[in-house]
Amino acid sequence: MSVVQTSSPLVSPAPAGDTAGRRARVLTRLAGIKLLSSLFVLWGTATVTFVVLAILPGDRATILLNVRSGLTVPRSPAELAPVNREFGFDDSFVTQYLTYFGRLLHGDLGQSYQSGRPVATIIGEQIGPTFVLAFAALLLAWVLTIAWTLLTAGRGPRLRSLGSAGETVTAGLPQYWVGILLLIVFAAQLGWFPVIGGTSPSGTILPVITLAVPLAGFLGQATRTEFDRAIREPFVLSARTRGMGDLEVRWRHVLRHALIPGITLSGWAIGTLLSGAVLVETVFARPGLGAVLVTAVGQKDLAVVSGIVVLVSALYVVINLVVDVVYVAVDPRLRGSL
Amino acid sequence: MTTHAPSRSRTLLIVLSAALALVLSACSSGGGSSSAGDGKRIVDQTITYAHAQEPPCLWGGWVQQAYLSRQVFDSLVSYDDGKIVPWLATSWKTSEDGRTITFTLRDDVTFTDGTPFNADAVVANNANWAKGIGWNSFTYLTDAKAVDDHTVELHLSQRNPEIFQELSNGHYGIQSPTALTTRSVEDNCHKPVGSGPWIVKQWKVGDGIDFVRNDDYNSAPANAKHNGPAYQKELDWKFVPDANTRWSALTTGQADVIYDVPSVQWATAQKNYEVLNFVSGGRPQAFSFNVQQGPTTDKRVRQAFLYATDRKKIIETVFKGSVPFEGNGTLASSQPDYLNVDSAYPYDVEKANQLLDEAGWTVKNKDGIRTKDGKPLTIRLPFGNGAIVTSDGSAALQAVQDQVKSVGIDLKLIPLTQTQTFAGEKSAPDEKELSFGYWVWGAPNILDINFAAKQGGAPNGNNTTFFDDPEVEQKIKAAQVETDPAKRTAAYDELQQYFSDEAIAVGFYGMTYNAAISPKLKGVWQDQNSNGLLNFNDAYFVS
Repeated sequence: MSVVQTSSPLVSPAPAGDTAGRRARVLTRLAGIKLLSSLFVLWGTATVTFVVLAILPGDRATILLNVRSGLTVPRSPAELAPVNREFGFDDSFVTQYLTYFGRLLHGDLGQSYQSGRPVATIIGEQIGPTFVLAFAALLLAWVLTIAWTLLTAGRGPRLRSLGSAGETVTAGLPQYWVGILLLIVFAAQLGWFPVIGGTSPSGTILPVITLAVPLAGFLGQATRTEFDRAIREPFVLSARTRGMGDLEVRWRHVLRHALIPGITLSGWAIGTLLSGAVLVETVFARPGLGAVLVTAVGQKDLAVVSGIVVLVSALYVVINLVVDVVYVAVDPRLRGSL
Repeated sequence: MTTHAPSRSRTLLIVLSAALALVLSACSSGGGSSSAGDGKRIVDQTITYAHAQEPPCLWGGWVQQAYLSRQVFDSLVSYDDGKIVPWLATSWKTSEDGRTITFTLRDDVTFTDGTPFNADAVVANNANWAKGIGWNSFTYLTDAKAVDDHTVELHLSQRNPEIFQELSNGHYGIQSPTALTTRSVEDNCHKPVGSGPWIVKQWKVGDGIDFVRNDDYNSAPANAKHNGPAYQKELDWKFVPDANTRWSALTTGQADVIYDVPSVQWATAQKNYEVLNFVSGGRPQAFSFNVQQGPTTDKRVRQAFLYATDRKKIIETVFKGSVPFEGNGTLASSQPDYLNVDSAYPYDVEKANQLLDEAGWTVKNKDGIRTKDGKPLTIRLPFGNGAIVTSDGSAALQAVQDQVKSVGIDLKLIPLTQTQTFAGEKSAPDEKELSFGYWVWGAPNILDINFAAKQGGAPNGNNTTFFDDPEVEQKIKAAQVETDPAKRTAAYDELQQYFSDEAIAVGFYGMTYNAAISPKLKGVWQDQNSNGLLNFNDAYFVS
């Protein structure tokens, strides 16, 4: 991430005259296309969420009645009718979709079928710890990836295979297993961290490591391939002939090239970190969107599921825009093409 | 009271009585040291309790909700080992026809929002139960009427001698009528107002609930260890879904009490901690054979299935002593009028084979499965994976699957997702030959709930055997309105024996609720009525 901070201004000074005007027009058009495609992504996720929850097996009114009363029985039409009427489950598919989408357009996320609580409140309660966990994990994963890459990539065969083996192993580690292991060793045995840490800073460290280690493995694999390729490029040789030290060559020239695939992966990673941290949340008894989402999907609680999915995809869109900017920062060649 | 409690079951009745003895001795010694004035009791601290599941609302029809409601609400009456004792009601009487119960209420109790507790409060709560508890009709409660300020009548649609046990089970807590009428649904869900020992300070969703002591508490039930405010100042109720995490929280001292010990740690828990273990009321984890259609309509097939399995051994192996084997599939062992039928259907492969031969399942196909008229002897068993049957429970079912295979029965285990389970899927008579599950309930009218062909005119969804025998159903309905205890016991004995002999409903293991408690904390006790709710009001630390 320090790469971003040390980089030069995002857009190089614009050439004078006619070219400037043309570039502005091109930029506006590009921005317009980006905006449209972002809106399309949001519409798409909202729609897919609706369709999937509607066609997944399981009658929503029955689930509602059973979850409320703690039973698992089939329900009679007489029991179901009032629930279907209240929530509009018996309206036509199209009517339900239009109601749902109209609400979303007004920024109304609705209320949970199950608890009756506003979805905005439910998300508001959980978003803080989720953000902290996701971004801290991504940051730590990058720190680990960069350190590991600089240390082992583009070196002798022994170090290289050690580095790549490390990545393959960590990338394949199941989160639940890593979490339990860290919990037992560092919280239960050594007592360095609380077992039930909640959202406290000391309680956040182990969950962050749990998420960051496998992610660092993924990022590392992508970075390494590119790093190994870049270090054989002629510009590396020319930098070395200019008398640049090994570490500086790796850090300033090679790493920059190698970061691009990892940055692309980061956009994807943040999406999964925001909504898919449920196992880690469970192990460390930590609040977060993951557990809320899993429960809501299980109960076909459309309002909650769509609220979270739309929010995460909105963030995903924003983050991918950021990723595009970061590309430019990391790779000056892209500056002209923006 | 629901089948909705993904608790891992564990225990033995012996353990239960041992644990009880422990609590009692702990209490008496604690009381003794206090009166001796050695000042070892530590008060005004925070109790940290790690629970498994977080319900959407603090009260309602789930067992998990009763665990919470019990901390905040008082009830009309309390259950003390087979006896009903006063709580918010000081006395009560039942009318001649059994359909009107008149309660005389305490006149010195105030809800924590300042509203006085009186007959109108009970009337308001009766309406709230009807709305908020999905199975309220099984108590036969209809309406309520205030006779005077501190006398209230509850009306029933039919005689129900068990109504007191049901009212004392934790779901029937009394809330402030002012709060119920003036506050939002959400407020009443997350911060309801009662007259109980604890007040909700804050519910941090996904994390836990902070309770603070009700300093004016003066309405403990007659079977509590003391009447008055809790000894400790705060109760920190954490939601910790993972059993290993809960266990680590206990061993590191971060939690003083944990719910549902992992069965691999059960032996250690018994050695190093105080354990409470309660076999829930109602019906244990039991097999219900489809007696309406398919091969299991033949009694010999049902019995062969049971003889082919060493159920007792399986439970011992899987649950490591934390959960008892249970042979009765109709009533739980903690239920009054329970009949022990554990010796029925011992492991006897030869007999199983003989019964299947007699039933005409004589030809085995190439997979070793018996067939009749070319059809294999397949028994489909859909089960609520996670929600109803824990991972240990599902391991036990796999062992059953293995054993019945050896006599030529093809047991198909069909794990259902949570969505499918709550959608009531795979519950039609042509979709399964066997069901498996429990039903937590405080009274033997669980037989009516589980074996009546119809409920309110519609097919009874709780009847997983699809049993339909008007004569037996008549006996069930007669038993539950019988007021003579001896006749009542005899009637229930006959019914339990019938369902066991006919192999319609046969037990596998007890549905248990357990807790492990740090040696530093004394006086925590488990309600002995149907779901083992924990009481923290009497708890105190020792140095």
